Amino acid sequence: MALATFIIGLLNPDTTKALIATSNNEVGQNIYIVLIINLIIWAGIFFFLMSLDQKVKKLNERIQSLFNK
Amino acid sequence: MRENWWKYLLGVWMAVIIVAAFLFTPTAKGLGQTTRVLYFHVPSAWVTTLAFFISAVFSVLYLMRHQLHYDIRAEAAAQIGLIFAILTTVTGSIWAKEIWHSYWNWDPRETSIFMLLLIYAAYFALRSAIEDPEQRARLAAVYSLLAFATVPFLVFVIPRIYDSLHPDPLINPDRKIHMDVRMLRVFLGSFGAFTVLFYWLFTLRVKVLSLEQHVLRKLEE
Repeated sequence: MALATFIIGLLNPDTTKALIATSNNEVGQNIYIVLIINLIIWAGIFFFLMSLDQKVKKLNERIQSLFNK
Repeated sequence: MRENWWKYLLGVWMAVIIVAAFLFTPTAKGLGQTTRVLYFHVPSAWVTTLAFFISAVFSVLYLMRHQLHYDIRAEAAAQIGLIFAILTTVTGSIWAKEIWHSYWNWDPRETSIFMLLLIYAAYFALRSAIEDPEQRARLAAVYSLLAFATVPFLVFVIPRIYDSLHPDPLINPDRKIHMDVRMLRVFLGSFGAFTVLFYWLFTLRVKVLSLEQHVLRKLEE
């Protein structure tokens, strides 16, 4: 519910105006670069955490089975 | 997949926050494009405070019940708190260079977070100096409580007593939120995302520390 309210809020006409205003100048163009870099960094952190999560889970299972033999 | 749904949700949620922070929010008067640091710097500071609070809570639980798994949780929370305190300091310093033309000015905010970093760095120095797990847990728990007693003063009181150039915090003396509604929406969304990220990092760190303790105990037997 909170997520839906948030996304609907982002899609209102005022925010669209802000988006257009930002993209129409030089700062606006540079901000897209910074935005993409941020998204790539977050994607990297996210997938690293996911893989670490899986590794820890598997390690836990292996250790449990090893010591329970 | 089913048990990891909230992690995937966080992945998307944080990406939405990043896009919104850069494209959908207006800038604050006088701060220009540097306003956008707000959506990452302040939630990092929030996670720092939350993590140190949780560390103090588990320290109390350890002192009451003497079970080592509470000590593990106190340590994990303090580790994440320290990492986010460093992130807060670095992001704030980069922002200060742009606005105040210097990376470090010994502003009350900067001084207080520096003191906080030293206090919690000493917590880990203390932990690493004691080998016996029970003694380490007991002393670390007492120190953690003493360290957390300073947090309200360093984070909330001192920067408000002395004149600071730091922008008006959300919790301010006139008890009003001076923020555009779109900014506030993204800001609160970011708080939520950072809190869930903290929870994920915390559970992961607790699992690793618990495994380490379990293996060491079994090897000693």
